Amino acid sequence: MTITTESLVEALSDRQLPGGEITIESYEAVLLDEALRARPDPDGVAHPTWFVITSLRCMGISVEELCVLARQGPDDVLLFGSCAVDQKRPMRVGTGYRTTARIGEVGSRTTRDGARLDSIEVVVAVAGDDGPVGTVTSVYLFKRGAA
Amino acid sequence: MSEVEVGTALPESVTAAVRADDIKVVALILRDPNPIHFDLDAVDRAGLGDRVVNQGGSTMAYIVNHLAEWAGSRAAIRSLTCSFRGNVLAGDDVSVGGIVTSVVVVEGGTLVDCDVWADVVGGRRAISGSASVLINAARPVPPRG
Repeated sequence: MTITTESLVEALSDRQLPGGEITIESYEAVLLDEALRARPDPDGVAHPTWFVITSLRCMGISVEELCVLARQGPDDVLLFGSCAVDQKRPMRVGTGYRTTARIGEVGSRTTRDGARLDSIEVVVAVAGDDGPVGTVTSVYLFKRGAA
Repeated sequence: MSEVEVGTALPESVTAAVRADDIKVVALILRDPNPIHFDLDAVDRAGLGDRVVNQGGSTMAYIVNHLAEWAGSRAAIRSLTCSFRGNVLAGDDVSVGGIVTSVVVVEGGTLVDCDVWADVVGGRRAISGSASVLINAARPVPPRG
């Protein structure tokens, strides 16, 4: 049975996640630039997509574990709803970063086809040794009973 | 850069023929185990057709590439917000564009806000979003065309 919206909000809103650490290895930066068709940066500035990568690798839980927290059932479909990157300063290749992560807003709405669509916001703040570099806010959607 | 004002269109760019091998590389770097990015049987079971699915973050990256080229550096991008509207599949061509919605002179340059998008050429909208880019007068942006 699918969890109620009220229970989901109560269980997850503002819940702290473990966070993590990452170092942007130069070989991964080169491979990513090639895979994204990006022009390499001569000054060692990492592709801003590293913020997205960091948010996924350093939430402190896997996406599968997030699905468990969201009580995803066999007929529920996970969708990546949105992603917002705020880049205060660029990340750099060869540099280590740490993150803090939390679940933000949890909500629910009904789609045009009548399905229930629950949303879970995950906020990951990224910092280096000299302070914050940016924040990534991702919204995961769980379409209940869609599969 | 020539005059930038509200309504100025960013030059359109196209990422041609998204490669399945690139999707696999990104899956490895993301540590993304979702099989729709590398397993055609899984794609079929999910009812998504017969081509592997590009990561939303990769399609978002094509917009980043576009903004970085336009502004002259990756560091110029201050923020980017994307809503994912549809899938991009291996083999698709992806067109990226934008239009300026705000221009404000700030310390260190000019902050330009844009609406941005990524479309599958000949098909659906994959991403709609918005961005803020700091245009630094010391680093001119290539003219359109």
